[in-house]
Amino acid sequence: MGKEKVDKITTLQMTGIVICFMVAAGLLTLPRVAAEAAKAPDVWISVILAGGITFLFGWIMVKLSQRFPDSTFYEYVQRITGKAVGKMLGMLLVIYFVALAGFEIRSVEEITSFFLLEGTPVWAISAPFMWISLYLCLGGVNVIGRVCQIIIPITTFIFVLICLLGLNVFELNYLRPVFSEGVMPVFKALKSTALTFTGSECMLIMLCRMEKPEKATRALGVGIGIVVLFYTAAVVLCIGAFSVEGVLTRTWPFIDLARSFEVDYLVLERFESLLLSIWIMQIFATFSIALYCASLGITQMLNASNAKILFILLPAVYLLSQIPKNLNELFSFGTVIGNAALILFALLPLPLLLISHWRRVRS
Amino acid sequence: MKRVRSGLLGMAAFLICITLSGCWSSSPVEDLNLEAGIALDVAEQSPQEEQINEKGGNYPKKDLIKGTFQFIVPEESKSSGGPPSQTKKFYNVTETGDSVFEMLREISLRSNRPPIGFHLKTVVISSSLLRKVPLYELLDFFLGDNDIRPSVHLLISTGKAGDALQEKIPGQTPAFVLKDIFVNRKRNSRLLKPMALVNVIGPMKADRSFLLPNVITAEREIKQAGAGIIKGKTQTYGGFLNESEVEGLMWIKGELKGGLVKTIDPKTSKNMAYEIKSVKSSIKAIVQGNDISFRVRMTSEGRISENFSPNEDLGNNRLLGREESIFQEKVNSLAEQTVAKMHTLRADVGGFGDALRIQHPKVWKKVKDDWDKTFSAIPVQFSTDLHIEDYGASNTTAD
Repeated sequence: MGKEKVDKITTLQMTGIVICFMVAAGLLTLPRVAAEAAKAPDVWISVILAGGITFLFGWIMVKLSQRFPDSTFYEYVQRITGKAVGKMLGMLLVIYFVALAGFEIRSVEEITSFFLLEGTPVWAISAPFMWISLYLCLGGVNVIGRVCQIIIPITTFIFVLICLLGLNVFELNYLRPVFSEGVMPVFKALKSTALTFTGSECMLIMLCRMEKPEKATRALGVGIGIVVLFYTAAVVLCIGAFSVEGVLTRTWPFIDLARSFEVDYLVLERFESLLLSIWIMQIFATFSIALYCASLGITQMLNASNAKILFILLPAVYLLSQIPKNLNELFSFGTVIGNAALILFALLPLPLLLISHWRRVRS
Repeated sequence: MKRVRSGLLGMAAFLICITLSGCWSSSPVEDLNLEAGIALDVAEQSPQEEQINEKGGNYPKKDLIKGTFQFIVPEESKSSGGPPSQTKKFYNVTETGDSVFEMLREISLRSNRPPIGFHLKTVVISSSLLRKVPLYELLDFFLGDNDIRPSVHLLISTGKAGDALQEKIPGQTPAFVLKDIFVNRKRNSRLLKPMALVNVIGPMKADRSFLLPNVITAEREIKQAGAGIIKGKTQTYGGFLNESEVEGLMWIKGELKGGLVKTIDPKTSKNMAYEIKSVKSSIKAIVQGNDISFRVRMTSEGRISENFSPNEDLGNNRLLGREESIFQEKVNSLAEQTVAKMHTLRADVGGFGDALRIQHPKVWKKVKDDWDKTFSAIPVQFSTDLHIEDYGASNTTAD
C-alpha cells in the first residue's frame, strides 16, 4: 500500500484531468460541426444542454466507480460481469483509448503542418510529442495530474484573451433572434455537441487514484462546467464573427477566429500561434491520458509491466493515426470514436451499476 | 527499469540532436517576398509581360484578371548614424491570368525570393472586374490559404485598382496606407466601417448585399470615396454610393464614431457645422398585414464647431434649439437620399433586412428569397433627435 500511496491525485488535479481530457481536437471544429447539424445560430444552447447530459452520464460512471474505490474499471468490471465478458469490455475500452490517442495525434499533425510548421515532415511533429507523452505516462497518474494543473491556467488565460479580442469582429445580429427556426435545431445539434464532451470516462480509471474518491462528483461537475464555458464562448464568438452560413465554410473556425483580428496595442499582433500552442498542450494532455488509460488496461488485464506495454502501444497508436487518407476520413474517424464513446460510456455504465447493485458486488 | 532508463537516455540524445540542429521549416524573413497588397483588375497586359510572352514566357490561361502584387523590400541593416533612407520600401509586379493562385505562383518564376502571404494587408478589386467575375471566385484563394489571414482588408475601386497601389508618399507602402486610413473614422463621417475578409464571408455565403469601401486615385493621390455595392444574389458589382450617401448610411446604421454634419442656416444662409460626439440608431420593422415598413430613429450628441452667421449668442438655448432642428432635418434628408439610392439600385445595404429578420422572423422567411427587390418598394421613415451639448471655446458665432 505504501508504494501506491505515492501515486495519488488531489481533487483539484482530477478536475484538471477532466478538463484536459475533454478539451481536445473538438474545440477547433465544434462551431462548424454544431452549425452543420443545426443550421441555426442557437447551437450554443445545445452546447450547454450537452454539458448537462454529459454530467448526468459522468455521474453514473462516478457512482459506479465509487462502489470500488480502490480498483480501476478493468479490475472491477470482471467482478461485475464475470471474467470473460469483463475482459472483453476492458479490451473494448483499451481499443477506444488507443483509437482516441491516434485521432488526437493525427489532428495535431494536420493542423500544425498546415498553420504552424509548413514544410516540417509530419513524423517530426508527432515523434517528439509522442516520446514526451511516453515519458509522462511512465511517471504515473500523479505526474499527469500535475501537468494538467500547470497547463490549465495557461490555457485559460490565453483562451480568455483570444475570446476578448475576438469581440472585435463580433456581430450580435448573427446570433439573433433566438429560436428563429424553433427549438428543433437545438436538439438536432445535441448529438454532435455531446460528442465533443467525451472525457468523463477518465473517472472510470482514475477515480481509484484520488485521495478523496467521494469528491469525484465535484471534480466532474466543476470540470464540465469550465469546459461548457469554453465551448459556449467558442461557438458564440465564431458564429458572431462568421454567421451560421459562413462558419459552415470554415474548416477550423476557431483558428480562423484567432486569425481574424490584428492587435496593434498589445505586445503581439497575432494570436493564432498562441492559440495553437495552448491547443497543442491540451491535445498533449488528452493524448497522454488516453495512452495512460490504455496501457493501464492492458497492464492490469495481462499482469504485464506498464513500461513495456507503453513502449509497445506507442507504435500501434502511430500506425493507427496514419490510417485516415485525408481530412474527411480523419473527421469521420473522429465521429466513429465519438459514437463508440456514446455506446461505451453512456449506455454501458448504467446496466453495470444496476448489475453490481443487484449482485451486491462491492469492494 | 535499467533498460527503460538507457532507452530513454538514447531517445533523449536523439531528440537533442534533432532539436539542436535548428528549426525545420525556418526561412529568414529577408529572403522572402512579403506580400503587402494585391490589386485585381480586368486583364490588360503590361508592356513587360507582352515582352515576356513574345519571348516564349507564356502558359495556358485565359487573360481575365490583371493582378498587381505589392511586395515589401526587406530593409537592409542600417549603418549607425547614416541618414534615414528615403528609398522605396516596396515594389509592384503585375501578372495576368485567370486564377489568382496561379498568378501568384507564376511570380515565383520571376524572383529568387518566394512570395509569402503572412503580411498581406489589403486587397483592392476593381468594380469593372467585379461586374464580370463574382466576388466569391476572386476571394476563394484568399479564404482557403493558410498564410493569408481573414483580417485582410477588402476594398473596391471604381477606377483602376492597380493605381491604388502606386507610390504616393515616398517611404510609405500604399497597401498599409489604404488599411490605416480607417483610423480616421473618428474624424470623418463619410468612411465605412472597414471590411475584412472575415466580415465578407457571412453576407457572401448568405447571398446578402453588402458594401465595400471604394478607393479612387487622381494625380497619384488616393482617396476613400463612397462605397461599391456587391449585389446579394450574383455577388457582382451592383452600383455605387457616393460620399454623402455613405454619410446618410452611417447615420442609419448608427456606426459613426465621429465626423461632422454641415448645413446651411436658412435664415442667414450661412454655413454651420455640427461635430458628432456620438450617434445611436435603431431600426424598427413594422408589419401590418402584408405591408412592411421601417422606422429609423437616430439620436446624436455633439457640439457646434463652426458657424458663419455673424454675432449670434450661442449661450441662448432657443438659438441652440433652432439649430438642432436644422441639423435634424439635414440628417433626415441625408438618410432619405441614401435609401432612395438603395431603392433604385435594388440593394439593401442598410441593415433593414436584419431588422426584419430579428423582429419578425416569420415574415422574413416569406420575403427573404427576393429581399433586395422587395425592399426597393418598402417605405422608410426617419426621425432624428440631435442634441447640441456645447459650442467649444467661443460662445458667439463668427466673431
